[in-house]
Amino acid sequence: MRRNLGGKLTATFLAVCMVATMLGGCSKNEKNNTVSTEKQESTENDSKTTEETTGDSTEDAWKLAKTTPDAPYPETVEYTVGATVTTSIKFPEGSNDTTTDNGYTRLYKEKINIQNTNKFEATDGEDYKQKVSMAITTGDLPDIMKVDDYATFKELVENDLIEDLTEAYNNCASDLMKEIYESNDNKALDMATVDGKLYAIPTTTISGGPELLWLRGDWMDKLGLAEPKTIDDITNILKEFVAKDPGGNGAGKTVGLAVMPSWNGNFMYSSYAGAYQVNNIFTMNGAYPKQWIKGADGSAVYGSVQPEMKQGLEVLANWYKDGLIDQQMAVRTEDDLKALIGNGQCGAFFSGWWAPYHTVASYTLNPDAEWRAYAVPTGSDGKVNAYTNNPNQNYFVVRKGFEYPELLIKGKNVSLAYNQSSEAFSDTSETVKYYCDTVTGQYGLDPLGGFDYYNAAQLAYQHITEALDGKRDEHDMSMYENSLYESCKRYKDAVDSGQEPTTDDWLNYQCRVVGSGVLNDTVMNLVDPVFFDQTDTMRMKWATLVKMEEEAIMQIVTNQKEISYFDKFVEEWKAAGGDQITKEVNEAIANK
Amino acid sequence: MKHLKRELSYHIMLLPGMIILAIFTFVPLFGLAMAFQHYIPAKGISGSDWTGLENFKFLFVLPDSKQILINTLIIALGKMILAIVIPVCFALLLNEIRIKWFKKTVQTVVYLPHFLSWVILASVLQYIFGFDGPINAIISNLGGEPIMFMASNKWFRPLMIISESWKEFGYGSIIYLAALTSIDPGLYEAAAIDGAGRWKQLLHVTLPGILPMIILMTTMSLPNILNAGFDQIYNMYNPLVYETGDILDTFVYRVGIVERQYSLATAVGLIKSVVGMVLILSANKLAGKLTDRKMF
Amino acid sequence: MHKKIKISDVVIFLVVLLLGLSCLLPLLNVLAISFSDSASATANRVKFWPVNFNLNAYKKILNDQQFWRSFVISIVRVVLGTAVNMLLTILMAYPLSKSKRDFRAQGIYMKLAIFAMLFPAGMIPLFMVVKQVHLMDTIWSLIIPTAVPIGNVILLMNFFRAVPKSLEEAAEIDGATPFKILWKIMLPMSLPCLATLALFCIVGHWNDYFTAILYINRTVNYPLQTYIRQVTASFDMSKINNIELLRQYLQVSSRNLNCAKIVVSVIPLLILYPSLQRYFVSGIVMGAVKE
Repeated sequence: MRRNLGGKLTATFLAVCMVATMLGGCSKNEKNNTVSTEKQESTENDSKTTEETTGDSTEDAWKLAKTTPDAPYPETVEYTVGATVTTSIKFPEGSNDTTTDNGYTRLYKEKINIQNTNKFEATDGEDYKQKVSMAITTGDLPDIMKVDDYATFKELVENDLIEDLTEAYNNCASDLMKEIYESNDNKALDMATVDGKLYAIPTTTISGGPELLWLRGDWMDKLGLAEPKTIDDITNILKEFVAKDPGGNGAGKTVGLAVMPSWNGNFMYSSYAGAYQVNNIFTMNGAYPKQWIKGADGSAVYGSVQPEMKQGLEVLANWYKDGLIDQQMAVRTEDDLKALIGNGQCGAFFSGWWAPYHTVASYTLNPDAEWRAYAVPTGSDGKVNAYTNNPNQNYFVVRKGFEYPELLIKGKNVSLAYNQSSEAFSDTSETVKYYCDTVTGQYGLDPLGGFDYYNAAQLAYQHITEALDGKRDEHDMSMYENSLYESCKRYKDAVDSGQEPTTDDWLNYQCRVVGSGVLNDTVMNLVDPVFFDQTDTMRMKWATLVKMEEEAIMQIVTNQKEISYFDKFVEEWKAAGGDQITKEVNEAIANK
Repeated sequence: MKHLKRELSYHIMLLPGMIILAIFTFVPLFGLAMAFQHYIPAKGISGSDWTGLENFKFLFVLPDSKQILINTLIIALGKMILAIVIPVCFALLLNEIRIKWFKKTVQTVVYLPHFLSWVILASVLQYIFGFDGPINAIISNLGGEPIMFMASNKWFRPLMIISESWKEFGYGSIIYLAALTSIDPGLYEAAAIDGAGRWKQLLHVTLPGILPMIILMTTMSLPNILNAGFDQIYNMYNPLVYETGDILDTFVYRVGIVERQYSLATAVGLIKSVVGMVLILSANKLAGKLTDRKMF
Repeated sequence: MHKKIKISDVVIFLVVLLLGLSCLLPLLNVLAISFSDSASATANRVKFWPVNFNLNAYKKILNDQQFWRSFVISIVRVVLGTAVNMLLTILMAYPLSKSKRDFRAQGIYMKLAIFAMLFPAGMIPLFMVVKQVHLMDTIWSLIIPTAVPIGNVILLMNFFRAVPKSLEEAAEIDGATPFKILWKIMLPMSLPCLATLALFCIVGHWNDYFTAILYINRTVNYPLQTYIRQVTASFDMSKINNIELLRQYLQVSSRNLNCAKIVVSVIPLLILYPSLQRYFVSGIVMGAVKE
């Protein structure tokens, strides 16, 4: 027994040691590789300096590359990035592609002669933020990286860790880039500008359009309900849905409106036009919850604590009382809501044009399920009130001291040209062909990435429907739009010939033609929030104030507290730091 | 001389582990400085502003500080108690089972929930305790009003404590099952000869046999007094149960969303460590006095 | 008397059975979802039996090279990590189990160990250290920083103390060195405890996803749990400007696939525990003493 154990242990240990040495060997090799590339780089740099002194032509070429939008660098410029990748990357079968050598990177290399190595990789979101924080902490920044939040961006600026890109932008930004930023009145650039200097190439937010009420059309037809316009129409439809059970779920099994609970950072009004939001119920009465907006006296006020909120709260509380809102809304997760909708137990929710991603299961399980979108409830002028979102999603920054700060802009030029214009179809080079063939299957490899027009969803709708009607060449649009067009066309062809369209095609058609159609036709009253930054007091107290807010709102909506409780909440909110923060916000705006 | 040589061997045995502790635990202790700073990654520890006890004060002056601390203590204490009681009872029960295959199968099955994340289990619990779930079906069959357990301040804390205990009891019982094997079978034989029945054997042989392990595990769990289980609570709480369900860790997390609060997190960690140290050392002293055998 | 025992046997059996079932049901749910079609899984129609039985999710996993790569990385990590953990645990537990009379420095070492257990290194300083000692991006970064599980050391130390002194003394008289005593006497006497601690180490390494996010810079080198855990939540549709991102969303939010991944990642643990259970056979330890 003992000997046996000893023998086994020894054997295991030997095996472990072997594996360890193997792995050790591997990592050493890797290290060697990086060392050799560094060497290469430095020799390149050396040779560059020697060439610079020998020939004017190379010097001119370098100068040209550094000061114009598309001139390639005379020699390959290597740069490091903090890359967002997805872990489910599928490389084209049979290729030797890697995360640093693929359709994207070769396109950049061919067009402007740059090559990335990834200083770190992580999936987008929390993981990536973690990596960025650690890189900043250790002072070991990649040449180019994405920064997700404005606070970190500002921290980098204030501590002089990133390059001023003003000159590079002025010299090298392509017309297309400028045009895209102009599509949202250059708000994106303004936010990335500190003291008159541009410190980042921001990724623009695409407007989600109006928050739409999505209703089960087949249920409406069955019950003979007309399309809704006012809040009363909606109340009536919800009532009929719940009471008459058009889906045949059995008594009491149909829930009314699906509403996002406070879950995973979401709330019933945490983002305009997000899924399961109820912003429209509040904006209808001029309340803009969770937004800093201009109040009646011109100073900035916090939307959630304005008296206008009470009317919206009254509507929701009454709906809840009458069973028109999912009675378990407080404890649902997004998956639960999706399940209700997929299962045909819920026929009403608010969402932007991409709602079909939440309804697709209902279609797969029941092909009769038909969803219709309405921009409601409208005010007396017949329009929906909405607020705009933060103009930026994130900020691409360049490490202080990086020799080629313009590389970021030139790279983005390439990305925009091949993704946001029809260039991908006119350029016939091998690299571009490979790019077109593979990148749609390769999301998550683009080391630099592009961004899109503010009204991208609307443009896509126009381009796709025009092409479907034969009024536009199918290649006179971006590659992405073209792939959507193809999908929508397949959907139409299938329907026309009496076949069942695939789920993917159904999805794209519902999103891009049905949902976006409403978006395209709707005119909104837009309110621009005036503040997206943080103040000192917010750093510590904001979490508590948010908790107070969500607790109070949820209690009122679920009838645990009267509407009048709202006034008490506002008082407490102000006393707990709300007033102080409001003061600070106004000061910050005044100082800008 | 021989004694010295033996002691030298002991030092050598401890050396590798101590080196690793030195590098990866003692050296990083410099990071505790962050608890007394307003730490900004771009400035580093040397460059960030010193704020003294600001971070600690902050934890105690908020309107909901008291509520959060009470919730944390109640939930953590409940979990700590059940994390000892249930695994011990289960190990004892399992020990009584004579059907070998059944014993082994159950042993394996009950340890599996440990590997399911709360994200998955939250939706299962949500269903079980939801309006359409089996519990409410039973309640309405008995003529009662359905209860929204997960949104009830009366039920939330017990549910969190019980569900965590259920998830972990199988995994927790492993160590007691191991301890049970080290009880001398001769003791049972002797007890049986003395005419002790099953119950008496349990009281006089089995329990005393694993008592040192129970005391040890209890002591080691004491530092958890401020750990109420972030993953579980975060996946299951909602504004309606903030009053009873918001704990220290969820609070720090929410503060961290607004701005990465490394300083606050470090301060909370430091409090937990100090409280843990006080508890564990006193428990060790107490155990030493009561059983004249210290654990460490 | 005879009858009484039988009733208590039945009661115990039933209680254990119920507890076992309560743990089995959520797993059956996960298993059933993994064999169902995506839409039914999304619509929450699957309880304990698959709806529209299919193997699509498993086919996807089988074809997912990264899944298997991560699987292998996890295995390597578990083997290496457990070996290192156990080696250091054993080497530390034995001297610490000595009384202060036998080993004068025991008190100091013990205090250091307890202190290290109670004051774990913070994320940022530990990261800086790991970077300084060039462990970043190697498998060792997942192993070395947590190489000394002090809780386990204390458990094993207490087990060692329970080993009859007479055995050790006899060996010492025979001239055995401490290393030999540890290897020849203490370890074979503590098999159930060693098996338990090994299990804890294996499970710990297998389950840990967060360390790799911090220390591994190449996603292709992620261990399995890190790979599986993708951020599924808070996908903001309005930000999407790429068709593949949409497909991505559908994929990560696909419940049947996620469940299939859980099933596959739990299988090794399902095999592991029963195979370790043979070291739990009652009486080995003391039986050996008697002979």
